[in-house]
This record gives sequence, C-alpha cells and structure tokens, in this order.
Amino acid sequence: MSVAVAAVALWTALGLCAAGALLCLLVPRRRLSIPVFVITTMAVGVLLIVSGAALLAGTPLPEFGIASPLPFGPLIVQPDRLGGFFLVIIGLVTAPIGLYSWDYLGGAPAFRYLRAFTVLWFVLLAALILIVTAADAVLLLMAWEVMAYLSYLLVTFEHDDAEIAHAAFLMLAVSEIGTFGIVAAFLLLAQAGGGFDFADLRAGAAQLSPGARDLVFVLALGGFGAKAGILPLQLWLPEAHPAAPSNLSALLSAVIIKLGIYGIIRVTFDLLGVGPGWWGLLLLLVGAITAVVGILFATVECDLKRILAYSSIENIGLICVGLGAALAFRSAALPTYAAIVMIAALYHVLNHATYKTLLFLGAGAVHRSTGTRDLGQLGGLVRLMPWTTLCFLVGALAIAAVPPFNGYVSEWMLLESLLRTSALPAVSARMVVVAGAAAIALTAGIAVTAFVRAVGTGFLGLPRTRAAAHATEVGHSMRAAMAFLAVACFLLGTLPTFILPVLNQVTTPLFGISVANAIVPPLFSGKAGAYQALVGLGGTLFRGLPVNGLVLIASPKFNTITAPSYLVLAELLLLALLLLVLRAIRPQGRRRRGPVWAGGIPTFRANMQYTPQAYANPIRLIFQGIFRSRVQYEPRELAAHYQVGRIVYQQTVPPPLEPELYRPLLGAVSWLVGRARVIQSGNVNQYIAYIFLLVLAILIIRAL
Amino acid sequence: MVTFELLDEPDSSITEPSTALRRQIQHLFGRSLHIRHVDAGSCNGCESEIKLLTSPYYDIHRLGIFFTTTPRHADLLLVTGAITRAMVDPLQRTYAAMPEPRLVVATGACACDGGIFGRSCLTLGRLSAILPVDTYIPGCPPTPLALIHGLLLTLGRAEQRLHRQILAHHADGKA
Amino acid sequence: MELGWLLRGWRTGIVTTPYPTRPDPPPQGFRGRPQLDGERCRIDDGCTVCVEVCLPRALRLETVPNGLDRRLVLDLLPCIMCGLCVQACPTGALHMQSDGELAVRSPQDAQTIVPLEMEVSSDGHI
Repeated sequence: MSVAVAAVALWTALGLCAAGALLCLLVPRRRLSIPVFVITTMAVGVLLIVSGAALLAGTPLPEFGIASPLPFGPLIVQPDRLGGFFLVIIGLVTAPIGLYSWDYLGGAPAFRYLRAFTVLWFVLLAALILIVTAADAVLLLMAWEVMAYLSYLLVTFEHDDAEIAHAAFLMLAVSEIGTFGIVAAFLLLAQAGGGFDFADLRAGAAQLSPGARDLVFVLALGGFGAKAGILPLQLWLPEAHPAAPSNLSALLSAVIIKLGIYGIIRVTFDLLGVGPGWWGLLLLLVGAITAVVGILFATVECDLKRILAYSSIENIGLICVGLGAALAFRSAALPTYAAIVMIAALYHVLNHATYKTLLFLGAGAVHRSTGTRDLGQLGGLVRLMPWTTLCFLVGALAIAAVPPFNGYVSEWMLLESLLRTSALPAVSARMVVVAGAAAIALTAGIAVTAFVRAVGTGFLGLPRTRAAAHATEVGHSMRAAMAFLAVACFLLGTLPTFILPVLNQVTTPLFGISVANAIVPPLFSGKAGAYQALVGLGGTLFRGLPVNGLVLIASPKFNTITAPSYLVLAELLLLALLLLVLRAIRPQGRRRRGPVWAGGIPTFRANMQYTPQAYANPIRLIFQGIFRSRVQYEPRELAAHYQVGRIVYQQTVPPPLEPELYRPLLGAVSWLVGRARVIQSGNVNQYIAYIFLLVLAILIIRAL
Repeated sequence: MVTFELLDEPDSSITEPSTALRRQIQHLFGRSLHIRHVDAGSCNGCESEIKLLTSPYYDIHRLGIFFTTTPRHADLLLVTGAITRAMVDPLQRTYAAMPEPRLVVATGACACDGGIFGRSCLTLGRLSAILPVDTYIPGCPPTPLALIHGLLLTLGRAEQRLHRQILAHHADGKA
Repeated sequence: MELGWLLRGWRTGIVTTPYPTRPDPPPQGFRGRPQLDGERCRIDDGCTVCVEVCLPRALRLETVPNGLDRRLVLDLLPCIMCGLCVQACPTGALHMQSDGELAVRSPQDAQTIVPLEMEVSSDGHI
C-alpha cells in the first residue's frame, strides 16, 4: 500500500516539475506565471512529503530503470528510506517557499528575469529529487551536475550586478572541484565493482584494498563536503547565499548543502561499509572546526544573510560531528551508539532545514521591505513588521538551541550521545570525540550571542536609517509561509518522541539495529522492560498527554533523559512563577515613567544605540587569532598642527582561510593558466590541428 | 566698600529629605553605593580630587562605594561646578533618570554655594536651587578625605563635625 | 610582565589610607578652613577688612530678617580656603584650621555667626 502511495506521489511530483517548467515557459504574462509557479511548487512539496513519509513507513521502492544511450547501463531510480527522509526535507522546505514566493516574486520591485527563474526552478527541483532517489552513480552525478549548474544560473538571477556574478562563479568553481572528487571516488568503486549501480558499488567497495577505500573516503568527503560547506571548502557559501534571491537562498541552505551531507552518508555509511576508526575521527574533527569557525564568523558579520550563511556552515559542522561520531562508533562495533548519534545528526538535518528556511525567508522579507540586509542600517522592525519579527525570533531561538524549539532537542541529543565516548576502546578516539562535544558546547554558546545580536540590533530598538523607518509588513503569503515554519519549529521541538522512531527507520538498515526503544522508551505501553526503573521514577506521570513520553540517551553506566514535551509545561510554569515572584517583590509606592536615558540630552537618537559591530567586538578581540582582522587607520592632519581633518578607521575581517589558503592557491592556478595560454592562439585552424593530433594519438595507442 | 545682603533663612523643607526617609535610605545603601558624577560647570579641580578616590591610596571600593556610568544604576548624584544654565536641563534629566530612593551631594564650593563664580547670568550658583541636596561637601576643591567623609556622612556611617556656631561678640565691649 | 606587577604589589605592601577607621592627619601647612575667634574680632568697631578681601563672599555682613540687627557670617560653603582673610585680619581673630571633615547636611551647619549690637548714637548714626 505505502509502496504504491510513495511511487505515485514521487512520479507525480517529477511529472509536475516537468509540467511546471513547461507552463512557466509558455505562460505569456508574469501575472499568470506566478500563480502557476506557486501552486506547482507547493504541490510538488506536498507530494514529496507524502512520498517520503510513505517510504519511511514502508520498504524501499522497486527498482525503476530508465534506458539510456550512455554506455553505463540503465539509469536506476530506487529510493530507499534514507532517500525518503531527504525527500521529506525537500518537500518540507519547498512547500512554504512556494507559498512565500507569491508575494516575494510578485511584489515590487519586480524581478527582471522572472520567466527564466521560474522555469529553471522546476528543473532544479527535479534534479534535487533525482539526486536523493537515484540508485545509480551515473544518474546521481548527472542530477548533481544539473543541480550545480542550475543553482549557478539561479544565483546569477540578477546577473547585472558584478558582485553577484562573482559570487555565483565562485560557487560553481568550488562545486566543480568537489565534483572532481565525487567522480573519482565513484570511478574507483565502479572499477572494482564492474558497474555503476549502487549494488555494484557496494560489491566494489568490499573488494578494494584498505588504502584504496581510504582514498575513496577522502575523495567523497572532499567532494560532497565542498557542496556541504565544510572547512576549507566553505568559501562560496557566505558569498552565494546573500547574492541569491531569498527563496533560493533558503533552498540552497536548507536543501542543497544538505545534499552534500546526503552524499557523505550515502558513500561512507551505505556504499563503503565499515571502515577504520580514523574515518570517523577525521570527519568529527573537520566538523568541529567547521562549526566553531562558522559560528564565530556569523557573530561578527553584519549582513543578515551572510550571518545565516555562516551559521549554515556551523550547523553543517555540527551534523558532521554527529556523522563522524557515528562512524567512529560503528568502526568500534558499537552499532547502538552509532545509531543513536546518527539519529541525532539526522534530526539536526531536519531541524536545520526548518529553522534555516524560516530565517532565510525572514531575512528575505526584511530585505524586500527595507532594501537592505545590513544590520547597521536596520533596527526598530519589531513595531513595523511584527509578524516577520516574531517568526524570525522563533527561528533565532530554535537555531540558538533554546527550548522549546527544535534546535535544542537535536543539539542536546548530539552532545549527550557524544559523551558516551567511554564506550570507545581507544583512548585517543575518546579524546577526539570529547573534543568534538566541547566544540558543540562552545558553538551552542556562541550561537546564542550571534542570534541575540542579529535579532537585537536588527529588529529591536529604533530604526537606524530612513529605509528601516519606512519598512512595512510583508504580504500575507510571506507571513503565512514563515508562520508555518515557525509552528513546525515548535512542533519538532516539543514532539520529538514521534519523530525519533521514524528516524530510527532510516538508521536501522544502515546499522542493522533498531534503537527506537532505547531512545523513546515505551513507558506508556505497560511493557517498559529494561526501563522499568523510569516508571518508578515517575516516567508515566503524564500518561494523559499525547506526547509519547521521554527522550533517553542510554549508556552502560548512566542514562540521560530529557523530556522536550514536558519542558514546555515546565517553562510555562516557571514563567508563571517568575511573574508571581516579580509581583510579590515589586516595591510598594508609586511608579515613575520617564524618558529613555540619552546621556542627558533631550532625545534618544538611533545612532546612540549599541551597534552590531560593537556588540561583536568582545568576540572579535577574544578570537583575534582566528579572525585576523586587519585595521586601517589614517589620521589626516591639516596644515595647523594637532588639527585632524578626517580620520579613517576601518576594520575588516577577511573570510576564513581566504588569505592563508585561497590567495596562494589562486595565485598558483592563475600562474599555471598563464603558462598554458601558450598553446591557445585563437586560430581555429590550429585547434583543428590539435583535435587531429589527438585522434591520431588515440588511434596509435589503440593500434599498439 | 562693604556690601550688605539681605538673605532669608534657607527653607529647609525643600533642601532636606525627612528624617524617616533619610534613615530608610541609609538602611538601603549602607554598605553599597553607586555614584553618578555630573560636572555642571566645574573647573576640574574637584574632578581631579574625585578621580583620586579610586586610586590605591584612597580606594573607596573598600568602603562599598563605586562609580557608575549611567544614572540608571546610580543611588547618588555627585555634582560639581557652579551649575551653569546649560547644565541645568541635563542635571534634571539625570536626576529624573535615577531610581528612587536617590541621594544628591553638592561637591566643592561652587556647587555648594557658588564659590568664586556665584550667581550670574550664566550660573545658578548653587545646586540646592534645582535639586534637593542631601549633603554639602565644601572645599575648593575638597580633598579626597573630605569627599570620603561626605559620602560616609550621607550614608550615616560618619559623624558631622561642623555645626552652626553663634559666637558672642567680645565681652569687654566698648561703652 | 604580569608577574612583575604582582611582585611589585607584594613588595610595596598596603598603601591605602586607614581613614575612616583611624584618622589620616593632613600634612603641615594644610589650609583646612578659616576659623573665627569671636573674642578678638573687632567687627563692632567697624572693622570689615575680612569682608572686603573675601572674594566668594564667604565672610559677609547680613541683615537679620527682622530688618534691624546685623551680623557677621563666616559661611564655609562658598569658602575657597584661600586664607586672604587670615592675612588681612588686623587682630588675629581669623586663623586656618587643618581639619578636613567639612561635610554638612544642612547649609546652616557650615556657618559661624557673630551677631552685632546696634549702637545707635543720639544723632541717629550708627
């Protein structure tokens, strides 16, 4: 039953993508193309959620081969549960983005290349679906490249701007470097396995020597990691996200970089099989460094969308820490822990997709309404755009891991499951995993600073510029899309007991063990089994509430419990208590209402407010070793001594690793390219001669 | 040339808080006091003495007294200078921004009673003309020890040394 | 660097004044405040030298609110402790005290008052 539902929904979604692209191409007027775009996108989103959910509940779909003229065998579509999970994420992100686009694309100022955007959007969606449903390396790579090029084209949507063109080109360049690694990894596996579908690749992995498998792992990690944005391949992310229109940057951050995570999971957990322990530790270390560097740069950045982009880097780092720990646990033959930490990482993937979409849509609403994304020019939006502010605040609380929103649950689970390192046999491995846990804790702390700063300076206080002062609330469809995601953040944060068993369905085939009962102990069913002690401790106290009990991270020596659903009640109770206490201790006597203190002068002006730069300054000073900010200071003295006419003080923080790694690398590349220009004369005849010589060479080699 | 002035007895009801209130304030601030200092037209003589209060020698932090940068956190307003008219408005704003109960101390001859500037078209000449003053610390400038004494007197932690004296004129007289 | 400061602090010991637990006497020659000796003052004889030299009018002649009696007031609030009055006083009725604890709660407490008896002569002149 569910197989049929999944298949029908999946193929209908793909068909709708094709139909949507065609319709948007043919519709003559923009007034018509936007409804077509919105309705089709939302329908695709809903169908993907249905299809993914059916896949998670049931068995993998039967294999579906498409005959291809290429010499690699048929292209195979066969989504499994992992693919189904990512289908749900694509759907969950796409549906609100579609709704949001109604007012976003239709509003003023009008987008110039609307038709191109809408057509390419649907092709991109189809490519995304194919990436996660492909069971064949060739189809996967083809869809991957389509995705890379289309996201390039869509980011350059407003290609008249040189900065946007540069950012998009950077994104394409890093993506292509990554593709090189992916192709190499798949070729190594396919050569050993004798075919390109996943079954062949798995067989090939089993036959490879350990050294070759290590090579495949590193190549795949680098290749997919470039798309995910792990250090040192993160350079494109903070450039491309602000350049893209906001509905696309939401898709970029919530889905496309997650497909890099999908690729890493697919190759390392599914295709390669169990590897040596250092794979996991390498991934974990890379993830920890990525997370810390990402959130640090998010804290000092002033462009709202760049903050979100850096925070995406951070979250990718957190997910990689989880994946790395899962790999390490699996190598140490501890599948239970591996499954638990993997579930935490997957939950974080889901959570990050929801709140980051929400935040990008919120940033897009701000940009659409004020024309700026610079925190230093915003402010005061809480009165002018209350709905947007509220939704952005929910997203910020979720990403800062504040209960009762969803970021808290997954980050807590990640941290707690990483603390189960005492089970690992090697001391060095334990130390690395604990270091990863420390990095997560540090990251969570700084994330609070970063998003207090983003909300506090961007939305609260007084408007700093005229643009911000004349902001108006965005249209209904944009508000509805953000509200939907905000509610999703709340539900994912309060009802994880329903989500975690579903994620267990994803990890069960990967590790061969189900940990549903270990994570969400069946206390209410009367069959508590090993968790009978919890019943005695009051675990069944809230039997009447439809929340399915507690979340538990088990270990041989100690268990850790959280109850996100009950946490809401506790928070409400604490709030009520706090209000009561405040009422009780309120001093007797009259209250005075006074004007805001403005240093003694009559009115408080917007430029007296704490600036975003000033707010981040302590962090910038403490972590100067990482930021390496450059200060430019030029006092210009006038003729009269001691009389300074103008002072230029500028502090710039270069992107991470840009001066250390990318500058010399790009210098070397352009030197090489300069040398290679010798053979390029621009003369067509000469090029034909090259082709002729090449054909001749091939023929000679064949003849030998 | 001798000048004669006709001065009323100071109206103590404006310039002095009630005894009960003073006792309550002393109870509240006894061991912890935060000061906001406002320069209302001072020559900076008083400031250089006030600055010394936080030096290692005088170190008023040992007495639980601290300076803050905002009146929102302050319990005591320490005013120096001859109260120029330009500073009247900021002074009153500062006072209004302070939470209650609040104390006001006039520091130096100028804030106490005009000093060498007195009352003019530019100065009010005394702090008590606009704010209820709790303690006067005379001196030009008052030494840091005098300042400490004044602050502790305000808190009820020191005794007042000076009292109104009415001296009998010389006894032998002249017939 | 930081260790050097620590050692310096250690070697220097406590420099903080014992005030207010114990008195901290001022140095020699410290001009604390002028003090008026009513016995020696010749204000009744019409001597107003100190009133004339006092720039901030800390020493002044006042008419008591009843409108008849007058008095000499030494008001420490506006006094700048310059000592000119001490130098000018022909009878030595004024001298500088070295005490520094001058704070008062009420402006009257900073005043020293010498009431004047009105000697009205037969022709109506004072």
